[in-house]
This record gives sequence, structure tokens and C-alpha cells, in this order.
Amino acid sequence: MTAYEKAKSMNLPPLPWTHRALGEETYCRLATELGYFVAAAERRDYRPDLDPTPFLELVKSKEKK
Amino acid sequence: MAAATKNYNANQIILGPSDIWLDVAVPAASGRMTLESGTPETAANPNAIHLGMTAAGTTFEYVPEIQDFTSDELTAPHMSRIISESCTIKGEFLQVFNWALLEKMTVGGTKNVNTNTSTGYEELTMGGLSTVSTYSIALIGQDISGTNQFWCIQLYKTYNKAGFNFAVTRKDQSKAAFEFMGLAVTGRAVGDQIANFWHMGAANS
Repeated sequence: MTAYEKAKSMNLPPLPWTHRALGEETYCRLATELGYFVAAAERRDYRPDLDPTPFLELVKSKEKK
Repeated sequence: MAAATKNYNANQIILGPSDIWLDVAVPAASGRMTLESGTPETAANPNAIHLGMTAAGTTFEYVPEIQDFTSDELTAPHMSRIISESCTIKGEFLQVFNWALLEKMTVGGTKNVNTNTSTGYEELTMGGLSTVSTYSIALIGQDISGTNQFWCIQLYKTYNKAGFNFAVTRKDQSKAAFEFMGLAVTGRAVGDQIANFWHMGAANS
């Protein structure tokens, strides 16, 4: 699966990609499947914002074509 | 036979100032944080806090602890390995009268705010917590080449191990030392678990 296909299949949530906005379940899914870090391997008090830029740009650029 | 080229290049020098941002977003694997005009881009980094002024700039330090392996037969080590790595960003910050910063800088502090116009206050209570909240920080400075390009050192997971202390005196402004200690994010790729030092633009080396 390409990075684009993965980003599309994830049904990317709206911004911001913060733990508070996404909730624990969606946050952990995004963090792990999009390659930020394996959230389950980290303590619950490490939940940094996730930078969405590369995935949003990937989807945007593909959909323009 | 040809002579080697010397590497004098004024564009490969770093000259401050730079800015520290706390609570920035973590980039995906193989990515870098999103910048806008040398600051964290706000949509990608909605919680970023600027540390403000420092007394004398900032020091970044990466120190590997290397174990040399020797043998009885040889006079010099025959193998070396990295046993541990220490990655820190340290300095002294001046804006000690900022409670959003204080909450980040004190590992065991909790900020409380009352916005009532007559009885309002801001406070930082301390004592009793045992967990350490960690977050990501970035040190960002401008490329000396003068273009709209910047360099960035990001620690993915860190806390301020220096605690919080400052002197109050008539003769000098208060300042508090900080030392952000980089921790490994175990779920990131090996080689990219603690930090990333990068610059915008084409390769200059």
C-alpha cells in the first residue's frame, strides 16, 4: 500500500490532530498507522500533536490530478 | 595527482539568534516539522508555545557514550559501540512571569487560572505528582545565507530536567536555567528516535 493509499484509506480526520481533538482511540490509530510512533508502546502522558502536513498535501496533490 | 578542495564556506556557519518552541507537533516517520516564516506552522502545531527571551542563547548538545572493546592480544581497541546517547538543549530563560511557560518548565507543576476580572489570578501549584509529562520541542534559527530558509533541531520527547529556580535581585533580571533532556520514542525508527537536526533547502554540503 502506498503512502497515498494509506492516507486515503485512513479517512483522515479534520484538524487539529491533537490528542484532545482526536480522542485516544483515533489518536493512537493515526500515530501508529501513519508512522509517527507506536502509541501503545508509549506512556499515556506522551501524546504530542501529530503534524498532518505530509498526508494532507499528499491527498491534495493526488486529487488535483 | 590533484590537490583536494578546501572547504571554506561562510554559509555553513550558524549565527543566532534562535527561538525555542515548546509542545510542537511530532512529524511522521521520515518527515520534518512544518515551519512558516521560521516558526511552527499553526495548523500543524496548534499548541506550540514560544519560550521567549533567553539570557545568552541556547546550547544544543549530543553526547554519545562509547564503549571500546579490547583484547589481551592487541594494544588498541578493536571495536567500539554506542552504549547510550544524551541529547540536550539548555540555556536560561528570562520570562519567568509566564504561567503557561512555567507549567511546561516545572515537571511537577500545575497551572490554575481564574479569569474573574476582580478576583482573578494565575497560579502554579507544586507537590505530590510523580509522573513526568513529556512533550516535543524545537530550536529554530535562520540560515545565515540570509534567504527565507531556516534550520531546526527538534527533540521528539523531552522534559526540563533543570527544574525551576530563579534569583530575585535589584541588580539583575530574574532568569531560570533550563535543560531539556531528549528521551527515546521507542516506536520510531532506529536512528530517528530522539531528535532531528535539519535545514530547509538544497544540500549545502
